[in-house]
Amino acid sequence: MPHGTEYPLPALKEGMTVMRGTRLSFPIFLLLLLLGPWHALAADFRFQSSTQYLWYTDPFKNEDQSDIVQYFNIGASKIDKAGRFSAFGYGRISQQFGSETDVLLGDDEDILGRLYFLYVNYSLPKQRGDIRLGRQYVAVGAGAGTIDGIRVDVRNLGPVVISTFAGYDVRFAETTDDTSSGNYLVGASAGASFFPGNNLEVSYLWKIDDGDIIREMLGVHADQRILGKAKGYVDWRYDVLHEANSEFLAGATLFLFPGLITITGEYFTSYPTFDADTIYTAFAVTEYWEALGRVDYIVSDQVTLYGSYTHSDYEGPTADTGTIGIKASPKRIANLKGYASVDLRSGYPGDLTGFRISANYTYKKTLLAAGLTHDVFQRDSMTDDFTAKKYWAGGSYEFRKNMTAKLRVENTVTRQFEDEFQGRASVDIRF
Amino acid sequence: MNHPLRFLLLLLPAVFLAATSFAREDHRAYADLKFEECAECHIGEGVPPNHGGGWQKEHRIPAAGPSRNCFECHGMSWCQDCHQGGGIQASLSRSQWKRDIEPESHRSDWISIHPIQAQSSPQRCQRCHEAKFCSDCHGRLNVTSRTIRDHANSGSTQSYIAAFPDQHAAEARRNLASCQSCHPEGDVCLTCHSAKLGLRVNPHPRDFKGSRIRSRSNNRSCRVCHDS
Repeated sequence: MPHGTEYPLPALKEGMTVMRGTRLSFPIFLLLLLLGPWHALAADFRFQSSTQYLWYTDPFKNEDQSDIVQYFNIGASKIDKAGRFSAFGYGRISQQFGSETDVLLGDDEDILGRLYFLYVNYSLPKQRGDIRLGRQYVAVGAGAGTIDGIRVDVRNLGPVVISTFAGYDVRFAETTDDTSSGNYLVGASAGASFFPGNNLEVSYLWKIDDGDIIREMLGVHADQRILGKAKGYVDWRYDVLHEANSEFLAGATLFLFPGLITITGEYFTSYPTFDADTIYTAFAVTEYWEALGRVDYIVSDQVTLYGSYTHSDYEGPTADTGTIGIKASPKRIANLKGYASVDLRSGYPGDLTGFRISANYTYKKTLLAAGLTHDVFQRDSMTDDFTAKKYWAGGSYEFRKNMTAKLRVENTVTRQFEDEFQGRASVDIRF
Repeated sequence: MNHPLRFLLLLLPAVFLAATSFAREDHRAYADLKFEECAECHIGEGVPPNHGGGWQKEHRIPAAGPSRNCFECHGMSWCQDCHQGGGIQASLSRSQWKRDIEPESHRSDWISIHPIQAQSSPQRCQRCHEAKFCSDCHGRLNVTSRTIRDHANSGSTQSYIAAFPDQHAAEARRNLASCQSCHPEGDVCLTCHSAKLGLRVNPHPRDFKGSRIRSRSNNRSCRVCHDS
C-alpha cells in the first residue's frame, strides 16, 4: 500500500456504536438522567464543571484552530437510606472552530462527545464489596481498559479479594468512543495478603473482537515488605495466545533512614505482542529489556532530590538514560515551589539531552506558574540534531471558594515551526 | 521464562516469606490535603515516600495490584485525565494536543520526539493508546517529509527494503508497532510475506506457536496469508 494514496479511513463495523455528532444525545441523556432523580432524592451531591476555550496550531496544516470544551464531573452518594447506592459520571462535550478537512479527526463543526465513565455503585453490606454497573475504567494486573458493563468486587473472604468484570470494550479514538456488539473485555483477579506486608494477585483478561478472542493475558503480581526496611516485587504478564512472556518486571526497594532515602533496582523485559485481529500478531519480534536504578532522597522538608539510570537492550543495540531532578519549596519564600530535571539519553534508536524547569507561586487567591523545556534530540542515526523549546506561563484566580478562572499560554519552537502558540482559558466550578 | 508453571513454582516460595511490616494507613481522611502536605507524615514519621521521582512510570503496578488504595485520594477521573486526555482538573503545567490534555511524560516537541519513546517499548504506548490512535495521525503524514531511518533513503517502503533487506528485517522486529502505525492492515508487508503470492518470505518467529492464535481467534489473521 503506497503512502498517502490508499490509506484506509477508519470504517464503521456492523453493529458499531459511535458517539459523535448527532449521536451525542445518548451521553447527554445519561447525564440528565444522573442529574435528575438523584437530586430529587436529596443525595449527597457533588458537581464539578470546567468550561474551556482552547486554541492551537494544527501541525499538519499549519492553521490556527480552536475548541470550546465543556467538562462535567458528577457524584451522588447516599442515594438510598442505607447509603449503599452511589453514582458517578464524567464526560465532556466539545466543538471545534477551524478547518473542515479531515472530518474523522474531529476537524469539523460537529459537536463531539466523550463519556469517560458513568456508573452506579452498590456497596455490599459489612464492607464485603461493591457491584458497579455502567461505563467504567477497569484495571487488573493482566491489563486495563474501559467497559460498558459490570464489575463485582468481593472482599473479606478471609485474606482473599476477588474482582471480576465484563462488558463492551470501549475504545477511545480521536473523536469517538467506539463500542461494538461483538467487542468485549472480560477479566478477573484474585488477590490475597497472607502475611503483613504481603500481596499476591493472579489475574486474567480476555479481549474479544467481533466474537473472536484477540488478546488473552495472564497476570501475576507479588510483593513483600520486609521489616519496614525493604520491599521486593514481581509483576508478570503472560500472553496466552502467543505463548510468550509479554512483560516481566522484578524489583526491590530499600528504605534507608526510613522516609529519607529510597533506593530502587528494577529489571524489566518485554516481548511486543499484537492483537490477533492483525497480521502483525504472527510476525517475529525481538525482546527488549532494561535495568534501572533509582534513588529518591528527601534532603529536608524543603528539598527532594531524585536520580535514575536505565540501561536498555534491544537485542543488539543499546541505550543509556539518566535523569536527575529536584523539587524545592524554600521556607524563605513562602508558597513558592520549584521543580527542575535533566534528562540524558544516548543510544538506540536516538539521543536526547534536555531539561525542564517550572515554578509556581501562590499569593492569597492567585496562583502563578511558568515553565521551560529545552530538548536537543536526534531521532535516529540518519537524522540531524534538532532543538525544541517550550515556554509556558499561566495563572489562576479563585473568585469564590467554588469558582476558579485559569489562563495558560504556551509557545513551542520546533524544527517545523518557529513559533507554535497554544493556550487555554477556563472557568472551573464545583459544589 | 518460557514455562509459566515452572516460573510460578519458583516465585511462590519467595512471596510467602513471613515478615513483619508497617501497617497500611487508610488515606481517606487525608484525601483533601494538598500533595505537599503528605510530606508531614511521610517524612516526619519515617514513612517511605509513596510518590517519588519515578512515580509516573512505576504507579502502574500498585494501581492495578490487589492492595490498590488509589481511590482513597483520587477519583476515577484522575486516571482518565492522563490515560484518555481528560482535563477537568488539568494543572497549569500540562500542555494539550488539540482538545486532549497531555500527560507530563509528553515533553516539548512530542510529535518529533515520540518515536524515540515508542520504539523503546511499544507496550508503554499501548497502556493509553489503541493502534488506531497511531494510524489516525500517521495516515495524514506526507511521505516526502518522512525522515525516519527506514524511509529516509528511498521515500518508500518497497524501495527501502530492496536496497537494505537485512536492515529492514532487524528494524521491523524491533519496531513492528511503528510499521503498524503507517500500515494498519499490513498490506505492504503481504507483498513479500504472504504464503499465497509474491516472494513468500516466512515472517514468523523461529519457534512460532500459532495454534492458540488460530483456534481462539477463529483463524482470523491466518487466513490473510494462508489458504485455510
